[in-house]
Amino acid sequence: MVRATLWTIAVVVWASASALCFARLWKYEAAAGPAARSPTAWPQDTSVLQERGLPTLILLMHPKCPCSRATVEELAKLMSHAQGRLVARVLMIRPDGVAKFWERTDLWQTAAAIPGVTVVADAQGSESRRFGAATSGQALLYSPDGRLLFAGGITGSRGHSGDNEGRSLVLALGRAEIIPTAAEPPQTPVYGCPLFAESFACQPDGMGPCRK
Amino acid sequence: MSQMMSTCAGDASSLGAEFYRTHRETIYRRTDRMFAALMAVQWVFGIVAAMVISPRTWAGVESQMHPHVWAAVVLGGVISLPPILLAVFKPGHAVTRYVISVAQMLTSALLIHLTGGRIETHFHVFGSLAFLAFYRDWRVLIPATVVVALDHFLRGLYFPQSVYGVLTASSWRWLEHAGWVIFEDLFLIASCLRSDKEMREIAQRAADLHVAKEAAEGANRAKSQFLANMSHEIRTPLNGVIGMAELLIRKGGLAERQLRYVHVIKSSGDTLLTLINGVLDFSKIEAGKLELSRSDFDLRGVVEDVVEMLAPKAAVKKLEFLCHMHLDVPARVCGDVDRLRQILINLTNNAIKFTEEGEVVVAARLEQSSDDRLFVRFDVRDSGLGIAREQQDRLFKSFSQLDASNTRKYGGTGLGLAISKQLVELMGGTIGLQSEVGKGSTFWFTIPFLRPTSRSPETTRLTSIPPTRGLRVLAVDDLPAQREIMREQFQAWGFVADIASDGTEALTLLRSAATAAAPYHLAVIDMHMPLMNGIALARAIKGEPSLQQTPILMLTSMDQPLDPNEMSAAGFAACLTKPVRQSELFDAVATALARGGLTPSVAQPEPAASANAVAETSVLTDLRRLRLRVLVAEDNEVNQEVVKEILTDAGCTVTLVSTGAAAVQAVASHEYDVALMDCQMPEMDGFEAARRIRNAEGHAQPVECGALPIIALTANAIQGDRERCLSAGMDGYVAKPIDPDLLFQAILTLVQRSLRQAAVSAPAVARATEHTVKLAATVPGYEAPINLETLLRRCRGKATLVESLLGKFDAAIGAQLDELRGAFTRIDGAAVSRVAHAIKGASANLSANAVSSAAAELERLGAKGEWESANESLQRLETSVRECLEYIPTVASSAKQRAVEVKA
Repeated sequence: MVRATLWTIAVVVWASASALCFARLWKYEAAAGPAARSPTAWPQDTSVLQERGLPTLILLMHPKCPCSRATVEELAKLMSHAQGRLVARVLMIRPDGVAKFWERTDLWQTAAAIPGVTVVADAQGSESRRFGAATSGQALLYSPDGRLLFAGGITGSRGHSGDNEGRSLVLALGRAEIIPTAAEPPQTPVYGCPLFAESFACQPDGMGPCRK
Repeated sequence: MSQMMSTCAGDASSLGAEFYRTHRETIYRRTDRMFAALMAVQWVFGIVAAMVISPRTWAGVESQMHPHVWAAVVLGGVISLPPILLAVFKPGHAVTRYVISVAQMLTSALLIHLTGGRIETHFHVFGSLAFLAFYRDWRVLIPATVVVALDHFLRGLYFPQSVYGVLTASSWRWLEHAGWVIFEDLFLIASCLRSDKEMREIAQRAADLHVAKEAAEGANRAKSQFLANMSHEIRTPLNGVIGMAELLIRKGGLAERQLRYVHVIKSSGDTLLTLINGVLDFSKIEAGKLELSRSDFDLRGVVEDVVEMLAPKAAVKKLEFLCHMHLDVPARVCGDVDRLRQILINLTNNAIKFTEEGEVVVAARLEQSSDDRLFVRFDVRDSGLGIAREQQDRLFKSFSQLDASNTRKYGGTGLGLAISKQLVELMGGTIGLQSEVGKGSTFWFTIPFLRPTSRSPETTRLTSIPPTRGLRVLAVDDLPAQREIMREQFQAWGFVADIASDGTEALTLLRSAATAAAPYHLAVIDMHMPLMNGIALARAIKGEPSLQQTPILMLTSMDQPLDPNEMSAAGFAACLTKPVRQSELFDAVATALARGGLTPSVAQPEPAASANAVAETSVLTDLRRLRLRVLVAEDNEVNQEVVKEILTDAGCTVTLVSTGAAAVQAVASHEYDVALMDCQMPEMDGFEAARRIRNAEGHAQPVECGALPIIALTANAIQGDRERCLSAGMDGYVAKPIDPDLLFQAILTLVQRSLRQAAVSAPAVARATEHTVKLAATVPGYEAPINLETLLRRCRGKATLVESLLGKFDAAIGAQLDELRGAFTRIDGAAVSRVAHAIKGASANLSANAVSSAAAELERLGAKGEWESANESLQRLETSVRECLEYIPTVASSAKQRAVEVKA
């Protein structure tokens, strides 16, 4: 009897420990980065080209962020479904003082291989700052006339690809299937690594970015 | 019968259940181990996957370890370690299986997380379920399925994308996923149930087979026991037949025709006895009752004895019969001499039996040696018909002769080679055959003998080469094998040896040597050679002035003895009969050279054969002179008659009794010089009778001075009987059918020993006592593990007997202690008491008082079942035995020294 009780206790402790660890992992995967404070109109001083006559999707990414693989996968699906009704510009941040081709990672190669996507380096993150992005995977959709239609992430959680609100909104807006009526464009959480070191420093326990 | 069958069926059924449980347990344990390995691999795989997929998390140019890596290490460890530990420390337990089942599903969940929710990783779940089915326990699948369903339910509620890949999912979607898992489970459960059913059926079949095998083996053992008993029963009347025939031959006075008939009776009896011995040996081996003895013996002597014994048979068939003893053959080894002799006789007898012309060579050589072992290889080569390869495999099988007609033509049971094979293997050796049809056969075997425990001075005689180095010898023989044997032998003795194949070549070599002023110092010539025989060659040598001084040794076959006058006229220094013993040849060579003034230091040879003849006759003469009063206790009337006749012929006055009780009474009421005691008699057997006689005398065993010498008579020639007789207080042992010479020798030896004891023991005992007193005075309270003085007195001052007793004790005690420990493990008080009793008796014989008293205590405690005290007593016994064994070399050397003192 005592032995059975001890075994039961041991198994329960073990199961609880496993559940706790899983809960912590879930928490990390569900932790979104800080939202962008993006300009509502296409910035005049940007060097990024806006496509004429088509909505332009700006995707700001850290080239080494493993969570952003899911973003690129979602981008591929999105571009495939958009069937040429929008163009995408992926800006890979390239901080100062890094080695040559630092930003040319597998993420760059994968994104560059998607039709309708142009990948460019964002030297010192100036464009990311210009577009107000703080988290890798930040997507911004601008209408052909330069209005911000959408700001947010196109994955449902950290590093997980799959159906998600962000991708659905971008696709619908890009195809002009919906017309934004609210003053503020729709937003979704962004899941990914901090684009800049200063936001990295305030991540609690390193498990999620600091929300400022 | 039906009851027995139902009992057997019940046994088989419970055995089947036991087999099933054992097999199921084995499967559980094996699968636990496999999962433990898989868990470890998955853990490592998870860490590697995390480090490849998401090694670090970045912010600008700064990075740190990605939480997935930590999760792979920590969470992977939390999931994997407990089941791994359970599989290692609690294999086969239900809790281990269930924990493994849950852990495997949690590992699936972790891996899905680490790979970013890839749908492909979900297949891990299905693979794991299939693997869990290895347990063949469908219940293990349940917790795994529950974990999967629960995981999907919770994720569906809180994080649907991580498991369904969609933002929102129906609250019942987890049921769909769980349903697919259950879908797989259904097949796996069906598979488990079917496997389990088959496992039960197979276990039951195995149990049935096991029971049938046990029954068959039991029947075989019963058959072997029956054969052994029957052999014993047959030997008793056969003793009468052979004994009476022997008496008729010895008595004389028979007409030639009658004598021939009696010889036929005797030889038929002997043949029958040989056959029965074969059956008895085989039965004992089959029944696992054959015990090997171990003692030092003269290996060369044994081989040469066998060759000499069988030489007449070879001579009858006019075969060249040679013994080739390689020089590296150790003179003394330790092993079972009787069994070695039996194998050699069997193989050599076969070789002679199946060879119609040509030669038979018995060879021995040292094949390999180690610190404690001497691997000796024996070859028995013949020039017979040879054996076809396809028939060779059958040869060593029981009751197998190549051709059924062989049994009729040559006789035999077909057991000889099977027995030889089993004996060789019992001794740790190997046996084999090389044969080619038309070219003859070589039967060989190797035995790993132990190195001898003592070194006899006699063994060094042939290796102590006299100053023969540089002397020249010519060996002449038409047989290449014999020539080579002689050349090798002479070269080993330091001679310059040449060989010649016939008389002409020999004369040419002798003349050339004489011309070159390097004449041969000795010529060894074979009698039977083509063109010019030995005598003609000897005459030719003696006829030439330059050669006539050459000493000549003649070798002749047993079937053609030379007339001594003819031999002397031909000028031979000596004539030897083939096969020649090395020692004989050595002595003859030494004599021949000494006569030629070449080796004056070599001792004159002893006339061994004549000395034996004198010894044989002197035994009977001495016995007749003593006119002994002999008590014979024997229940069989025929045997009574045989023994009485044999002893009366030796001048003894015989009193016959039929039971052990009558023997005890007779000893109490009359004086006898010696008693012969049949071991198996009605009412009271010989062992008990001997014990009572000793008790009445108040002597320890074996007999001390003044006690009645008792010789056991038994038809049961089994190892262990001798020890049993000795422990019962008997002094000697003669096997039935009785060989009169052996019986005479045994009686005379015992009686003479008794007489010598009376003369010798007194001063020896006095010295021993004095020595003991001195020792006790020097070391207060000291008592040696073996009391040498008592032992010497008991052995009548004979160091060899002391050595033999010590050797036997040393050889047996290890097995006895093992048996004791086994009895303790089984909690078998009767066995403890029995073995302790045996140790007590053996150690008392040795005067190992500490061992004896510890064994006596253990015997008492074992009989009472007082295990706690018995355990302490066993430890005391083991300590005493260890001290005793360490003390044995000291005792042996002291005994030798003391024996020399006594002789002096």
